Amino acid sequence: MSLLIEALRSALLPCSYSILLMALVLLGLRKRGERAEVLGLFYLGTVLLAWLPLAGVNLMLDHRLGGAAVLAAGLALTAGRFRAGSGGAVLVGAFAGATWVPCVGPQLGSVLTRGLAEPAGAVLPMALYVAGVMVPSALIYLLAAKDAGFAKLLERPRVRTGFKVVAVLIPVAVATGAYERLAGELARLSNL
Amino acid sequence: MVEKGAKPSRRRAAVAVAIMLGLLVVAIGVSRLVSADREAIVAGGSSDTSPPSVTSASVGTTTAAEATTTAAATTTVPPSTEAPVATTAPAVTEPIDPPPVLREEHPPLRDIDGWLQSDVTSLEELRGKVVIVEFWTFGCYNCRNRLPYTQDIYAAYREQGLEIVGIHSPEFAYEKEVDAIVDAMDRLGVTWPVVLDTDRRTFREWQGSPAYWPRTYVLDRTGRVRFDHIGEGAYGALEDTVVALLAEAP
Repeated sequence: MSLLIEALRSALLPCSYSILLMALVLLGLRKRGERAEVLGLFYLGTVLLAWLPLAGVNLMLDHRLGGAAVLAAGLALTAGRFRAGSGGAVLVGAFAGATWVPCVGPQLGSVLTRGLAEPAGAVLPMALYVAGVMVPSALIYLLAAKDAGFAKLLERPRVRTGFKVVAVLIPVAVATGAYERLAGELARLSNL
Repeated sequence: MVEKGAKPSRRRAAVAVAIMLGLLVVAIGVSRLVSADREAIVAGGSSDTSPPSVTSASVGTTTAAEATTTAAATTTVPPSTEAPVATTAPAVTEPIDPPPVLREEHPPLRDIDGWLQSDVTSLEELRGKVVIVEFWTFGCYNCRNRLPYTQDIYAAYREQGLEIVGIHSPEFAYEKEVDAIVDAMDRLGVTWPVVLDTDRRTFREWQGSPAYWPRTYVLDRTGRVRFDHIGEGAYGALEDTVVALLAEAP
């Protein structure tokens, strides 16, 4: 429980903005009725790639070009009109999980430290922690699902085009290093 | 699971989720194999002196290896309620179980850009002292949360042979400016020596991948790694380790 509380607190800190941003873009790229599975697949991808390095598996998605390629593929799939495109959310989640630098509070610190010796034991705590971090994303999803006005806003052609533009810009920003600088600027501003 | 008449889209979603769960199970299996491999290496008494990676950090020991691996996890788990660090130094001669040796030798400081407020320019010059090595960066929220405890432990045990070395490994560009680091040290009350690891080479050398802020190691008087903890917390365990290592013969 304390791990979840720590995750909820962390969800409001700059270290979690990247996950929120990715989730928001994914929600904006898909239609109503498909957003739950997109968010779920994004979550699974994030948990998997946030945890895999503890097991000694590094897929190198934190490298700019490799990360940008996976992210671009995931966003392009998700933006596609075909139904299976939702699966692209797994790739976006993989990127988010691999590049995420979590705020390591006492509870997560304990999980990670133990996870180095026994990676399997860290899977569920990591899944719980990421769930906590994604609460704001889930709230946005619920808003889009329950609030007709917000849902209509997301369905507007201009808004959908806006999400697509952002979906193109993010991988470019990752490849050029601008994404990292932007994240740094956000962190600096929130530390003032 | 999925009803016969379910929509194809739902079926596809269910298949996607099932695949992901399958991947998760496979990953868990892989991790168990990795753990088993590590235990086998440990049981074989491997002495790993290569640059550490996160995955081998608690394995590369030559003595009481299996116990070391287990103890490494338990030593660094924070207690449920954190006892404040003593502000006045207690006697360090009390018998305390010796902390396990996690590595026979600490990794080197790789391509650093210098030291701040320090009379020494290498960790080797600190042999004979117990040294807390703390990876931090001034913009890191959790690193700042650790500082009061670090300050207390420094005040309590410095006279008895404790030294602290902060390795400043910036996460973002604005944390790389030396003036900003000096300003932050002054503002945050960092009074111990700080190593400038601008390009994070030492950060990677010590931690491998993934690497975290903050991360705390303790070196004994001979330079062996005796404590390793990621993130905040484990303050009681850290103090216990320092007390035990200070009590060890120089």
